[in-house]
Amino acid sequence: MSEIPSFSIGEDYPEYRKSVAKLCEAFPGSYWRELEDQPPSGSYPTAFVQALTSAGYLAVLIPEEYGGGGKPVRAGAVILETIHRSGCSAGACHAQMYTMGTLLRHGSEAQKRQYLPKIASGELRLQAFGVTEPTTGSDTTQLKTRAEKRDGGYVVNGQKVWISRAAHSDLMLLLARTTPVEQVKKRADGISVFLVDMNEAKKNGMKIVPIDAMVNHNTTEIFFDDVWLPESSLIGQEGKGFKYILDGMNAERCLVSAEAIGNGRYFMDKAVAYTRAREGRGRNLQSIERTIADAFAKLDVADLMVRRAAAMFDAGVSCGAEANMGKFCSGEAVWACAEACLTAYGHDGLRSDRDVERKWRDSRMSRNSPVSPNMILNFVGQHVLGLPRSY
Amino acid sequence: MLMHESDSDLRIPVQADDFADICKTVENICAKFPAKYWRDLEDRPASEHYPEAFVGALAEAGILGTIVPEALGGTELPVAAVATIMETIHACGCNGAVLIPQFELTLLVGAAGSEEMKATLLPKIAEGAATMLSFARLTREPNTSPASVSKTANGVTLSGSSARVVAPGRSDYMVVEAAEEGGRSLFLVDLADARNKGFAIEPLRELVVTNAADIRFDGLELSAKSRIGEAGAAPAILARTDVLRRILEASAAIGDGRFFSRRGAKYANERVVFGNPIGSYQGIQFPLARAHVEVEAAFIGLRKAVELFDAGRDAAIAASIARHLALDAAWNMADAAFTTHGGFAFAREYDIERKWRDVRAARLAPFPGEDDLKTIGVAQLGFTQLT
Repeated sequence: MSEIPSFSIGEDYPEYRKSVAKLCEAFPGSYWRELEDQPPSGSYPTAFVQALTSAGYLAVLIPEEYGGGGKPVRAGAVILETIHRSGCSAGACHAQMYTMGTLLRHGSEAQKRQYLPKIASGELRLQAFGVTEPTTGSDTTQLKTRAEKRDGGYVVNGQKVWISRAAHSDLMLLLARTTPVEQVKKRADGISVFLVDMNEAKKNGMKIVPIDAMVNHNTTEIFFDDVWLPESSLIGQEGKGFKYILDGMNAERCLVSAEAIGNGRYFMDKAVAYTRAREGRGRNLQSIERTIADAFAKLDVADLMVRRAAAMFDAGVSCGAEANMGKFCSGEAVWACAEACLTAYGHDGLRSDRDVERKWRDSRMSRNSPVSPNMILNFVGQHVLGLPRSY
Repeated sequence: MLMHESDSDLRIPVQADDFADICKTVENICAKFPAKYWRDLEDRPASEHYPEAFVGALAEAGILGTIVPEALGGTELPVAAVATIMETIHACGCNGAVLIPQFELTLLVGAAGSEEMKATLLPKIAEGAATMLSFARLTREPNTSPASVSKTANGVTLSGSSARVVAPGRSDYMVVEAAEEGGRSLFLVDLADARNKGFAIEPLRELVVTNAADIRFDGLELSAKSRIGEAGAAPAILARTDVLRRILEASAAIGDGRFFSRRGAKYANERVVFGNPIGSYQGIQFPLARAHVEVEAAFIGLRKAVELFDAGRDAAIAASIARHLALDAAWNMADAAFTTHGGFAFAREYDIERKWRDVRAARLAPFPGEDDLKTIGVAQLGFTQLT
């Protein structure tokens, strides 16, 4: 047997940690607060995303032959962690990093040559991932958006919801049913992935409607009314799309978990500094100090869980359980950190100019998205503990 | 503050499969000590709670010499091996708590004992010559007088008491922490020699089999050779053995978590109520799954602590994190398995209630879980109020 993959327990990729933190200094809390005050049309962190793109950070996972950095998922995770630890948010652009994975693994050579170099340079933004629908939620194989085969292409009808960054993306990966569910053996069959040219589709019956939400995640609803997609937009084989999407989910989980770890570190830095400053003033702070120490412990091991999952993914080892558990632990841990920090700040934490409440709102999402913690418990129950499927 | 730059060179394999042979040896031994053995121990008087045959079997297999240097007859393995041993014992449903002071003091004597002490003690430990070690820490309890020594012409005399010392009645030697002029110091006491000369043991019956006893020294005379390290050296010496203790307590808790994860899932699959296995109901499945994830997370924290310890780095914070989370995770796993078993959890023959009590007790004794949050808060986060 070949050597067992391993992961660092220290500050790996120190060069990224340093340079990304430096870049983030130009985007302080006030930058993010002002974005939140804008209407949806102006709330996208354009300058921040431009800075990350110019520095090549969003292209690190694309192979060098297509103009990217050719780095493993763990490198991307460190970049995203550092962005969040620095008080910034990669929510507006992280999909540029991993959505291309489906194209990379399952696209034709022609598609890869056409799109990947432009995605790597930032000329084309692939930020949108159209999976979830109003009536299907986590039950992806029940999605209702139809792509019907016609001569030379497909006609798409249906609706997607919680599609982040769609208004700020040139391309979208779209999951749609190409064979009706009654005509397939397995529910997971008959679903296909398309790479949609958003600018063309917008002129052709696709409508994007922003959703006003608790967090500035530029999320939208998308309506498809007889939208024409040329045959060349199909990724891989027709009907195999669900499997293609699953492949990418573990990478996505490793990456967004790293963002949660970064947010957790941000909260710990702030909570510890704030509480230590208060220690000298005679208040008894032992209760909140224990709470902070407990959150710190949870964060530290969640970080290790995420590192392990990424190391397995990068080594090509099956990591469904590890990526799911890393996601679960990082979500729980960042929330423990967020709660500890908000509590440590007291009333001060409600003030927007402390940035705690904004980050606290952002962090709640780590326990819901992109996968429900209940679905993770279902996975662990069924596939790790060997219990019957419960849903 | 939160960086680990100095440890960037250390790595953990994604899967732990070290010491598979030791694991197998320990499992085979544990198989000879089924639940009934442990239940029967509980039915005896507290003075007969010591798992003599179990410890004897481990000693015979050389397990007690795991961290004794090869030159002194041991196998000289890293602490990672001991962590695996403790985890395996507890995962099998046995209880290795009495071994923790044994390993802790093996490390202590090896690191700080005199050459003569090492040459006398460590080979006996390695060959399993029934040389158990017991550890009396300096405790300040209500209605007791902490152990202290005063100098005499040939050495010191030891007086005072210590509460809840593990297995003093079955130990041949004991390390005693006592106060003296110049600070807290450590002494090696030959118990066979001491029993008739001012040393008294009062075994305790507790919630679980802990083998704890209160002990008292009444002017016990010790020679100068019995001193471990210099006067006042106890805090520095104990700093490292204390980390080992936390690692091993965390390992035992992880083993307990594995035991309950397996037993909980097994029963949830077998037991049919309302027409389905109860594991198909999320009210049963989710608490088991959630606690299982917590055990896995604590385990990876433990592996970090072990990696740091074996590399000779400061592992105090990592060990505290591991122990804190492992004790909590084991308890959540135990309680989820308890609920899964319903009324049968109370029946002694299912062995759930005994282990469940064991896990609860481990969060309190011999050292409270609270200690770990203090270490994290003070040493890592710089909070002065938690000291």
